[in-house]
Amino acid sequence: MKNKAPQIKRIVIFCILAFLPLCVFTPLLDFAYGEKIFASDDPKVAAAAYSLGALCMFAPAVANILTRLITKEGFSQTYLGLNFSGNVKYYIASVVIKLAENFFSIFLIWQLFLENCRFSDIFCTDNADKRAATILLQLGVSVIIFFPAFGEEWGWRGYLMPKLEKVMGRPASIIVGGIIWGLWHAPLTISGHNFGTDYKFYPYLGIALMCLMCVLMNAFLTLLTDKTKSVYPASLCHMVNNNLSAFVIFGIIASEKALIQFSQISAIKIFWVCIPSIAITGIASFILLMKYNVRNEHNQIEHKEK
Amino acid sequence: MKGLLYKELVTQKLAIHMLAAATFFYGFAGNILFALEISLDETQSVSDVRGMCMVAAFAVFFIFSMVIPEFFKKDEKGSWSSFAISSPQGAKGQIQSKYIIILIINLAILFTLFVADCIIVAIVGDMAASNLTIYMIIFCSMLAINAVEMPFYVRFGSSKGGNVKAAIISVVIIALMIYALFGDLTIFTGENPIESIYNFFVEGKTIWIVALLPFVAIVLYVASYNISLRLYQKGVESYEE
Repeated sequence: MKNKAPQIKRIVIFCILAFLPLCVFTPLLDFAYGEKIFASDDPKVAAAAYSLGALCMFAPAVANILTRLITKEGFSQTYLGLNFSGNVKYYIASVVIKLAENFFSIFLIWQLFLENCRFSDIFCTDNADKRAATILLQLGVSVIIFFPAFGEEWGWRGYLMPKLEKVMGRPASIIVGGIIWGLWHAPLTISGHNFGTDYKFYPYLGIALMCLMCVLMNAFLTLLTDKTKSVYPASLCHMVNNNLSAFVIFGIIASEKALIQFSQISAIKIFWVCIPSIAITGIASFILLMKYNVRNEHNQIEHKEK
Repeated sequence: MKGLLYKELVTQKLAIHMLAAATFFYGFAGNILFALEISLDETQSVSDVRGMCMVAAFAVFFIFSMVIPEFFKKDEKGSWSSFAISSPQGAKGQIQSKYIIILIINLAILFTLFVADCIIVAIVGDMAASNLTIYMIIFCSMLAINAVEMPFYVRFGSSKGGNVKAAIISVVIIALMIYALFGDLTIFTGENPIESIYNFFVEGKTIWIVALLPFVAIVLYVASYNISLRLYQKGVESYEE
């Protein structure tokens, strides 16, 4: 426990600093506008919600820096190196796997919710080049959205996860880290982000679902960070998840009939449809991380014996 | 590498401070104050904000591209180059540090513009006031231009290599003049030329060029690094002359 005390102190300080902006500004803006800003139809309120979300995504990175300064930890093991050599496959996987999850989710949405829609209503070739260019353009604009994604990842995977691993070991740290990350989204969820406010057991169900998604994604993002010793692949994955997923769905679903049906599906149902692909990636990543962990422990024991 | 990057930051302190001031006052504070004025004046529209932000972004990136030769000038000494080649990092470290620091500064400018963009969207109260696509286009274009000119600085030095930049700018100006004489100018003569220019890049025939621009810029930058690596030794020999 003595050895873990400094780590626990750093984790607590980090969490307070990371949680503070959203916990303060989200209710403040909800009060100022007189409504839940992430569930509003008013363009002015939606603009304010976008700005709040984008800027608060830097809170974990700022918390990383401040915690290191407050606890005099220094700036070693920052995970800021690119480490391309031998790790290009992880950089590619961080984007490709997330895109594959989106395509799989579109397929499930079509099969489960879109009635009387043929393959050509979903994957229509009319204006395919323009729609492909729009998706590619959005991937290009993601270069800028990379900044807030990096802001989150440098905090969660670049600081919190290594600290949690030292305190509670890898399996528990993935689950606890994911829950902390999910709870960080709670002020946004209460304000209507992702799920709106019009569902049963609002906001507790929304918060629980966010925690579930964050635990599953945490496994994959931790795997990427651990294998590359760099925070950038996880940031790329996060960037694609936040910025591109909606564009992929709306860019691909072709016919107006399908789009109208899609817009009537509740956010909670869409979440449940998207979860299987995220779960497959998350569970596979968890297993790989455990294997990697066991192999590392064996190597360390052999090294000590020598 | 950390040491080499620190060396770049220290030797280019003045240029970086001036660039930081230009980025903050023009690209950040200037745009936000203009957006505040727009939000209070009902006669002005989101297009006016977009125009101001486009000009500010282009100006800041252009100012930095004018400063880039200075990053090579200070190391154009035979004694330093010989020392650098003999160090553990070698020529690769020297070239890598230049490319990384220039990329980092470009990204820092882009980051500042992004933060300002978020604040401007909140002030104006309209998502249409966001200019992320234009910033991406300007950033990638400037990165591609940097990628073309940097091997010339490495091989011929900052003075002679600077002639390449002048040639590139001249070609672009001449191309624009030819287009102005013979091309379709309806996008500039409409009711809202700024929105027309924006839509031309984002939704018009150039959408594929714009969509592929980031990937082209990355490939060019990496290729430029590899070319500079091969040219460094010859460049060092020319400094000694």
